[in-house]
Order: sequence, then C-alpha cells, then structure tokens
Amino acid sequence: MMALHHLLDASVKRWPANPAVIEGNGGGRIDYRGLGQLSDRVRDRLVAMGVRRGDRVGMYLRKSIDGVAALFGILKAGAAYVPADPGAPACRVAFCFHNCAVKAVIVAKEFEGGLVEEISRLGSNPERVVLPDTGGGAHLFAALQALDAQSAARTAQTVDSAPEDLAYILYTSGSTGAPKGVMLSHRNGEAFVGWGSQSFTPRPSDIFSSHAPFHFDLSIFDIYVSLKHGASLVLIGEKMGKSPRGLAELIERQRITIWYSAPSTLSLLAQFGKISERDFSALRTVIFAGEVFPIAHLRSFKQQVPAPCLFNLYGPTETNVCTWFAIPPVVESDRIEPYPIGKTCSNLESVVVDPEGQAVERGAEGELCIAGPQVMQGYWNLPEQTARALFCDPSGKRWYRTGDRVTEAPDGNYHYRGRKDRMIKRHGYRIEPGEIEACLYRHPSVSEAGVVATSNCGSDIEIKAHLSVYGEKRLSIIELKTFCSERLPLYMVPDTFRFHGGPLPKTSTDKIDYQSLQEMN
Amino acid sequence: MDNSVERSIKNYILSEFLAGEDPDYLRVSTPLISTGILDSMAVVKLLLFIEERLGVTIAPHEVTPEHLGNIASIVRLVRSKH
Repeated sequence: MMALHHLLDASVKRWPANPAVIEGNGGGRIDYRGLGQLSDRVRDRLVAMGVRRGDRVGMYLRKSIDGVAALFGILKAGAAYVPADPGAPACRVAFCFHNCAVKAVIVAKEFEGGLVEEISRLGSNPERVVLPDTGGGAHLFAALQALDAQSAARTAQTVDSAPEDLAYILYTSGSTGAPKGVMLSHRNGEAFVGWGSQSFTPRPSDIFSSHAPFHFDLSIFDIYVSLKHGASLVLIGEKMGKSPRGLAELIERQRITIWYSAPSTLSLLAQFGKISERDFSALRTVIFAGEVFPIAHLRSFKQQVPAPCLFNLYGPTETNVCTWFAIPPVVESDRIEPYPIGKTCSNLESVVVDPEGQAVERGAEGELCIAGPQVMQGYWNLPEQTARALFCDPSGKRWYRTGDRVTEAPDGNYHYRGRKDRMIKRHGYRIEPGEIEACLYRHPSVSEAGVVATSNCGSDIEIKAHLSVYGEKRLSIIELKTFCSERLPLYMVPDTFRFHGGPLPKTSTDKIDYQSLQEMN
Repeated sequence: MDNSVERSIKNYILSEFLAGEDPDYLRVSTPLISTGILDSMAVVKLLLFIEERLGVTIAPHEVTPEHLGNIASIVRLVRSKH
C-alpha cells in the first residue's frame, strides 16, 4: 500500500512536466513538478510549526491550486487534513477544528478573522499559515515566503505514513445537533483510489473535472485518481458551479474527459446548459453519486450527450463508493423508476440485514452493510456513535451499517429504497434534520421545530421546517433563513417554513409526529 | 424603468422563493445568496425569468454573488444591459 501523498510523488517523477492542476476560471495552472515542490514547502513549514505524524491540520480556503498543494503538504508532514466548507459559517468551522484539536490551520485571509474569533472562544489557538488570497498557488507561496522571512523552515522528511494513519477527516451533519468527523485512513483512501483506477482506466491524457468541494467525499476520486495517473485536474470553483451555461462552456473549452458530480449538477446542465449545442466530443465518462438522479433529467442528458458512458456510484462518506452501476446506452422512454445503485465494488463485501442483524433472503428489503478496506476507522471522539455504526462478525471482519434500505434484484443489483432514519440527501450532501432543528431551537421565538424533506415532483428535494413559535407574532422567513445561514452550511438552510398555530402534532408517545408533518402540504 | 425592474424582480423572488413572507421584509439590500434565499436552482430560475420577462441575457461570467447578491445589484446588472 502506498500512502496517498506518495501517489503524487510517484507522478512527479514520472510526468514532471504534465499539467497537474488547472483552475477552470482561467486562473492558474501548475505542473506535477511545481505541485510537488509547493507541497514540499508546505510540509517544511508545518513541521517547523511543530506538526507531527498523527496530528490534524485544518484547511479553510477556497478551492484552488493553493488548496491542492496544501492538502498534499499536510499529508507529507504525516498529518491528516480537515477541509472546511468555505461557505459554512465560521462558528461551524471552528467547532470542527476545535473538535479534532487541529495543530495548525491553513486559512485564507478572508476567513481568518472569523475563525480566530470563534475558535479562541472555544479555547483553541492553532498555528496559522495565512494566505492573502487564493488562486494559482501564488498566494500559498507568498504566505510561505513571508513566514520564511521571519524564520526559515528547514527541509523536512516526507513522512512514510502507515496504512492505518489518518489521511483526512470529513465532517458531516450529525443527528445530535453537531457535525461529526468521519475518520479515513491512508488505507481507506488508497483502496478506493485503487478501485477507481481499475474501473475507469485513467490515462495521463485525461482531463478530470473537480466539481465537488474538498470537504465533500466526491473530491477524493477527482484529486487522487487523476493525479495518480499523470492526468490533469480542472478545478471548478463555487461561483462557476452556479451557472449551467458556464459549466457547459467549461467542459467544452477544457476538453474534460472524465466528469464526476452529484446528479443535481447534471440535472441543471441537462435543463439549462444548452449542452446539445456544445462540443463534448472529448467527454468519455460521466459519473454521478450522492443522490438519486431523476430519470427524466437523466434521459434528457443522455439524449443531448449520447456518447459518454454514464455510471451511477453509491456510497456514504464512511466507505466512499461501495456499489456502482453502468447506465445503459439508451434510457428507455417508458422508464419511471431510477436505475439501481448497482453491484458491490470488487474490493468490498456487502450484506443486507434485518433489524436483528440477520441476513435477509435475496429480494427482501433490509439495511445494506459493507465490509472491506474502505470502511472508515470511526467518528472522531464519538465512541458510542462509532460502536453503533460498526460491528464485527464472528470472523472479526468489520462491517459498516449504512442506514440505507435496499433490495437485491435477481441480477445482483441493489435498488435503493430509502433511509432507516430521517437523514436527507440533497445535492449530494447528507443532512441530519436534527441538526437543523437544534439550530432552530436556538432562535428565541421558536418553541418547537420539526424538519422534513419533500420531493418536488420527484426531482429536487425541498427541506421544510415546521415551527411552533412563542407569542402571536409570525416570524419573518428572511430573518429565519438569515439566522440559519449564520449557523449552518447553506445546503442545510430550510427552503420553506410552515408556522403552526399551536404545538406540532405528536405521536402516542408524545414525540413530534414527523409522518404527519411529511403529509402536510 | 428602475422601479418597474425592481418591483418585478422583488415580486418574482417573493412569490417563487419566499412564499408567505411579508413583502416589507425584502429590501433591495437583503442578502440573497449568503442567506440561502437563492440556491443554485433558484439562481437559474431567476436568470430565466430575467431573460424571458425583462429581455436581458446574463452571461455565465456575470453569475456571481457580486452581481446577484441582492436586488439592488441585480437591478444594476439589468440596467447596464439596456
């Protein structure tokens, strides 16, 4: 097994002059040699700051060459990177960094003030590498130069991380009201990258899209599978992601060959990107994951762009991808049901179990459990939640309970049937309604909150917050959205609010009756 | 023209993305993107509305929080096209 950063080192030796990372907005580009050198400088600085093998280092900056070099530098120093959502409020980012006790942070100037204020309130004071801005790698270089001018960092050794060393911690929404950190090791990451390499046969001439932000597990495929094979990675920033026509233009201009994103982005492209007018002849593979692709939009995409092979990938952050399905060349005109999530990846094992943990017969519905080298180590500092999510069979094999209800068809393909719990998947992100409710309960006028998801004509998921409030006065929706956006990532802000005149409906055990809320239009 | 453009954008946002809100709360300076009032899909719908109803096309490079961050900036962008 090779540590994730050694994948880059090997490519630097083999393809030093190949373009490694390109900023899709027309910003910078860097070749493998340059990326290797810049990440070495990050390693040296972090080691000079006292970062050691097994530590955590936070990243709070916009997607850029600076960000890619930073994460490899963190790995080379033997630490695990903790990527923050640049769109999340500073209080949430500070919570995550404090929660896993980061030793240092690499932060853009625009986020530094808010982060320092919030994290010092929690009692943390990590070392900081502050970038004046992000883009092209130049700002990271400038930040390192400025620190070297104060005190030069000596060249450090790249750490030969062990397979079980943590490589990254990805924070996801937590049902108890606070985010939880999913701990992934080099073994976890490398096993997935190995599967991706085997399944999609990347070449040095490939040009990968990097649509997912770095705090989203889809980014693992983009970054490591592309850079392992000497290919180029085109970074797509959040601004560009908002314009379907801009994205379509980028795919054409950059000659993207392998695209990977949540289906919601492909839906936008199919509906509004005018993609049939674009030259997508370079595009050979389109991969989507993270949520159900509404069949009407999938059909439309395939009709407009028939050539590339399409794949539906499925898997939670805790395992990364664990099943996959090749979409047929023609989407049947009378098909209404989404395609299956497919068969288990060759390096993993799966079983469907009943509530007692016993394997069900093929065709019966149950919870999908996964075993193999991609299964996470656990949740940071949450032993009880880890114990609930993982179990060992009599042979000692570790299994992860996905919480997803599935059935297995006679052909061996799994079909997704829904969740065991209340978790919502939207735009590829997983959202625990309990975390949104915990936020709403902090509002001084809210006496009760119940959050449910509704599907808008089988396509986009809408998050609806049902509220009971103190007093007669109805709350402003804008004020509530602002309140939530100051405490939650934007993808968790409810779309709509419904105010109830009295208490929310209850079950016979006096708990909020989510089923009733779900049925209210 | 300013007032009619502003009114029409404001009414569209209220009816599509803030159903039930008191119109007085939506000001020209109310942040639309940083508060989650407009997500990616909402931005696309708003752009289509501007294109179809106001006869103005917004280029992909103009789809930024600077241009679409509040009603005032949207109105400025639309005005600059006339």
